[in-house]
Amino acid sequence: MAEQTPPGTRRKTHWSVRLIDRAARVVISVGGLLVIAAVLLVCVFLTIVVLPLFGGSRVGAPRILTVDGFRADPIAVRVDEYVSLAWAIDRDWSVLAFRPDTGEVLERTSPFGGVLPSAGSIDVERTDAIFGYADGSIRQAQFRFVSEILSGEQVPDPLRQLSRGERATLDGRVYESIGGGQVRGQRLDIQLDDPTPAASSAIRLIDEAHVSSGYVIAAFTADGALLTKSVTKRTNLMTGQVTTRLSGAETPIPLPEGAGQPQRLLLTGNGDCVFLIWPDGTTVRIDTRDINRPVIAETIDLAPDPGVEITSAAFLLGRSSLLIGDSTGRVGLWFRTKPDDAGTSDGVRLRLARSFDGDGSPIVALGPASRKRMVSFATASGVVEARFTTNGKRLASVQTPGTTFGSVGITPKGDAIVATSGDQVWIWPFESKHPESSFASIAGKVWYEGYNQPEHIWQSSSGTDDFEEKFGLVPLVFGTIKATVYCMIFGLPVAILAAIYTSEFMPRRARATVKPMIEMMASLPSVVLGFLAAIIFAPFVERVVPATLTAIVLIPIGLVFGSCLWQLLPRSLAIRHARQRPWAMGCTVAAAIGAASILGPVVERLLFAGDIKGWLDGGLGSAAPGWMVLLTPVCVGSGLLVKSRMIHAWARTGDRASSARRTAIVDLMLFVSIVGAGLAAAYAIGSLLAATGLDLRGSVVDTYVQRNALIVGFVMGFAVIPIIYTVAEDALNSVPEHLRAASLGAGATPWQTAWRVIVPTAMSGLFSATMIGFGRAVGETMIVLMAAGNTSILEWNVFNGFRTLSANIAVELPEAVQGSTHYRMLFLAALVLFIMTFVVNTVAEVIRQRFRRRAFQL
Amino acid sequence: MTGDHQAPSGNAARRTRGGRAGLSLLAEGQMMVWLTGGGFVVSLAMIVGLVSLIIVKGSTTFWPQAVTRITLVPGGAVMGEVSRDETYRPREEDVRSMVGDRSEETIRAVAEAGGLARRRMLRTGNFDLSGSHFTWVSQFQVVQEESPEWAIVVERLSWGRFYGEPARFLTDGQVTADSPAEAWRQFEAQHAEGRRAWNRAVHIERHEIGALNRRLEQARLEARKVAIRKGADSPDHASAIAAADRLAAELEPEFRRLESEIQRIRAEQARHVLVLRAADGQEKSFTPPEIVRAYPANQLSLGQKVGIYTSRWREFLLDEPREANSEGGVFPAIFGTVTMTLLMSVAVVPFGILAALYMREYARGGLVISSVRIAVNNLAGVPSIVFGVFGLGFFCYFVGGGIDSLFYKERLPSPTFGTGGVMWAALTLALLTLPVVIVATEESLAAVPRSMREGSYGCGASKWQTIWRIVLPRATPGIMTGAILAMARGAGEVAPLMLVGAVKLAPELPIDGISPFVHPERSFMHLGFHIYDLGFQSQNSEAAKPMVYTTTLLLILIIACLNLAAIWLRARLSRRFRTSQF
Repeated sequence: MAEQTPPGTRRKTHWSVRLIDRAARVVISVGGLLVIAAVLLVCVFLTIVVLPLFGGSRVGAPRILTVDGFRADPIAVRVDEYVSLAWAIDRDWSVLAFRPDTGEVLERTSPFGGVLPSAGSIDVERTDAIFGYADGSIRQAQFRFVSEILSGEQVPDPLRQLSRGERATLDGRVYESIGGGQVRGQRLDIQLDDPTPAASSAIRLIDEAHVSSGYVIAAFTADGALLTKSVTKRTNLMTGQVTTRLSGAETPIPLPEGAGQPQRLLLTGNGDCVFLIWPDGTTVRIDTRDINRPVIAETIDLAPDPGVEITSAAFLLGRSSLLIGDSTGRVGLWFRTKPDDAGTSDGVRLRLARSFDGDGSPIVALGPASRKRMVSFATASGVVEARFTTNGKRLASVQTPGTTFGSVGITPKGDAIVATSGDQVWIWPFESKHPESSFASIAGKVWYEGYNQPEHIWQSSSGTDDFEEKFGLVPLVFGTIKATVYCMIFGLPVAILAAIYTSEFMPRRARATVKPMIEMMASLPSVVLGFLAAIIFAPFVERVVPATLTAIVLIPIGLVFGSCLWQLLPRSLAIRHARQRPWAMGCTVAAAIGAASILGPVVERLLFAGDIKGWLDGGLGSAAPGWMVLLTPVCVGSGLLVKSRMIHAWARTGDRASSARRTAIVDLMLFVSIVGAGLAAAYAIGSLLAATGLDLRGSVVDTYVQRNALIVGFVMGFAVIPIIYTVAEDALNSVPEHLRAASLGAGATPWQTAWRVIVPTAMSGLFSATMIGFGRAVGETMIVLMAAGNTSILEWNVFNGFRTLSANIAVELPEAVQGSTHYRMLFLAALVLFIMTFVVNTVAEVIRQRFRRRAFQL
Repeated sequence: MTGDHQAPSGNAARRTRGGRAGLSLLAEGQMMVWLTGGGFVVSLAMIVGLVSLIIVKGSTTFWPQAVTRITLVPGGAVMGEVSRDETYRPREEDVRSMVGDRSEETIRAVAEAGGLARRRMLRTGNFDLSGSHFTWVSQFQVVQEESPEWAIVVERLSWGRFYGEPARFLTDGQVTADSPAEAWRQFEAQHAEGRRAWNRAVHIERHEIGALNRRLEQARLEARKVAIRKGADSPDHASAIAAADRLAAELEPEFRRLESEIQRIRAEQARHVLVLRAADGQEKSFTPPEIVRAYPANQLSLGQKVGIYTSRWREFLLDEPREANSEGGVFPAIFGTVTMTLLMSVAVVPFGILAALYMREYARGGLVISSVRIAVNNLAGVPSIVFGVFGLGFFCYFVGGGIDSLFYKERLPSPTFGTGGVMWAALTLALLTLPVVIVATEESLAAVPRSMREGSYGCGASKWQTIWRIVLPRATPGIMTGAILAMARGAGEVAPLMLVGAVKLAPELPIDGISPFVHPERSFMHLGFHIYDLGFQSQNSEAAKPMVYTTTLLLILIIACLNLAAIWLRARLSRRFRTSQF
């Protein structure tokens, strides 16, 4: 490198210096760029994790198999979770086990023997099945896929050559090599109990539910009676024989006029309700919570449009919601809601929650998935669709013109649709990683199972498997905003006022010691604040709610009162003791708090019927006092505004000279009368509002909860005030000194200088301080986690808690499974938080830079 | 600052005082000044109140208190330390259930007192006998109050505290003392020795047996590694398994020897038994090693009280936690916090300086660099939990999972690096505090006068020489300030740590005497997380409260020290500038 030194240079720089210089340039540039890239990586990585949530679904090409000896439209078809083995009950009640990947029939049995069932029902989610006979007897059955893992010596010789993923058939089993020298075998196991007499006449429709205490059976007989029985099984220890005992009732059901015979019977998963469905849509819902006394709860038309027939019906996962397919090609999701005016014996009503439209031709088959809230259906014109029922997301949609499907279903893992048509089995693999999430269900209201209307809900997990996950981010975003708003209502005025005081009215020396003290507040770990909020403040405030409310009103009024008293001091004294003014202010605040603690119980007795929590619950007293408390600061404030704007202006006009002492006395009296008038006005307006039926309870105030927005707002003030304070104070301080000097020199008082010159000049700095404080409040985690109660509710009630995005992440992310929808949703929550704060901070930063430039120009 | 000195003076003042002084009074805007002052007073009161609350509560926790024995109305007695005193509004049915047959007069007395009654919360301990750590005693229930001379406060290994009076002392099942004084004397004589023996047993259990276990585990992992690399059927695998089995057989006698040693120590200590009688007459026996600390609370002299106070602080600072963290010490948490913070600064300082140097000295100005600067500044405002989410997803699962599948296959599916750990926590916090360091460094680089650079260039120095010899030395205090502020921020941050590796209990420290000495993959304890865990996850949060206060005090002290160091450095920096300005 040294050789390249241009000619004419007298002294050559030593090559090592040049080398090191180059190296330093490269290292620093690369390192610096890497660090900046790392910063960007945060945003990029979050986005990468979130993106799959909104990915579409992919449907593969269908695999069409011909199963030997299949007759048209089997009664039931099921596929195991590896899609390696399937069984079907054919129309002649023989049972086929076949391979869904090749169509090869493994075995064909006739477990029912000579006498064939007259009715049957096979559970989608479990292995249970129940059959009814013409002689009134019933038979329980189990159709199970049995897996076994063989390894080492156990593996039969013919299977040793299988490579990983390869399958082979042996002895009625399907084997698949799963690597590591192991093979997994799958076989079908059918257990059929002996028939048990149950009804006095032929069974026409039957269904069975597995409840915590055993099985419950519901059947409809040829006599028009509803059979509701619970099953008890006893095994004889000596003989090993199983005796089945049935107990329950056989109740005649008054059928609707002219409807003919019901076509379907469905029994809910916990056995509390039976649906009898007629082809024209008429449905009788029978309350079977007491199986010995079933009661008709309601009669409802599931297909109210004339001429529409119901073509298929099934339960969604959880066996509570009904999926109804009709002849217009629509699949409706119905579930039981609990309106206040239900008027039914069990207090619930069946409602249509949402419907999925096909292509207009009748639905011919309907198949819910066994582990996810998905449903597949086929229409007469050969359209096959799979939908996620919570948000209606279309997971797969294929067209096979000219094919009419007899049955359709979804594999247990939710990765393929299986449909039969004649002797053919069609299998469409599809992939939809996160069916639970869609823009609409994240940001909009969704009607979840069991709720009375569509709502915004976040509820990500629960104890049961058939739980419907509710991923609505709105309540969390709302909680974040609620926390921020209540925190800013308290923190912003305090911080800005404190900044103005320190910057404008404080001696420089005192400021140098006081400012770091308030700044130290910023370095208090938020976990400490959260702990104090939850363990100290929350229980304390709960005991002194009225005093707290009184103090909030009393402190500013007390300060103004204090200022009037200070004016009364002789001028020489006031000037000499100007430095002691903060102490006087401190005493005033302390006195206001003391007065509040004495007045609190009085206020409670006078305004809130002696029990503020009862009042908040809405049970006691009138609405007027609430309005009064809210309106008092407004009325007094506007009174003071009128005083300073109009009365002072009036005093300034003409030659109304008066001594300082007299002015001070007049001022004090004015102030006292303004407070009195303000209180009276607040009470009058409050009564008026209350008389018109408006009540604060139910909106910004309501039932008191110990960990609430008031506490969080106050404690989060500790986190936000120092930040706003520092930035605001810097902004005020960086207003050029000559402006201040000019204003003071022109005869303005310090207050006039501060208010008319300094604050307007520093306005954008103050705004940016506000935004930075806002950003901090939005992302605060530990305080809200510990002191906000963490229930995700959508109400502004200041006395109730909330759940913020950040607290939600902290609570749920450690338990979320990596890569699951829940995990990605939490990343989405983090991304939302990131974007919210980033936008706010960028706005603040841009404004601050502009402000800095302007301040330089002045 | 100028404020109230604006008053007119001299003759002019005298003239206006009678005339337009009232107007100037109005112009002073005293009311608004007081409102701004109110804001200031409130914020100052908040910080002062909070800090003094923590200091008072935190520093008095360990002071031994007197024990009170209260005989109650319906019979029975409670004994313990008064931990809270308040007035409340008893409900009539509660009074009835509390005082039984004297209810009518009590209700009348309460009504006369305005419906109010005084009640105290006693820390009565004896959880194993009574099922609760605390008891509320209303004043109207009290028959008699006394300070028993021989009330002993026992801090024990399990079940929390015990309050009782010595009844007997037994040696080998024989009663050797049956008066409180004598029993206590004999126990005291035995206690120190008992604790020493117990510590020895714990040492054997944890370190010596632990070392053997580690060797065995190592051999098994080695065998799995061979299986993964060369196949399960390979002869190497068979020999590795054989080696592991051989080692197990070899170590077996050693195991047995150590176990019998522990048994012997335990049996030796079980010979001595101190029987204490609780306030309600129930008796409970203790062997000396079960008792961590015991003292006759009502007989202590000031010196003894100070001794107990310091001994409790020593235990707090140097020992491991007991009783689901609500007793004992926080040494692992201190150690974890310090290790994590140091690791973090090792990561953040060089990179922060690099980025700042690039942005300030090498990058060409323009829109890109100023937008990057805005981005970096704003990163300081991004919520810490977002960094936690990123750390979990990127460091733990993505990078850590990658390391695991490359280098620690034999341990899968249990993760080594693929889960929260002290290194990932440090890196996450490094990212979080990066803006602090960058901004501080940039500012201190900018504060180096242009003239000095130009002088250096003028003397023929290269750019790097100028930076290295002239700029960086002058910027060092500023950079140090930034680094310390970053450490203070990092040490107080909890939310991201909950996601990337801070745990409730981690007795294995991230740095210890076992090779390879530094274990960056281990999860760790953290003071901040300890506070959260004690206050919110603990079963017995009332009993844990004192510990939370002291932990809080400790954390705040650490952070305040770091901040003060930064302030001191800043002051030094500005002094240096003042002297060398030209």
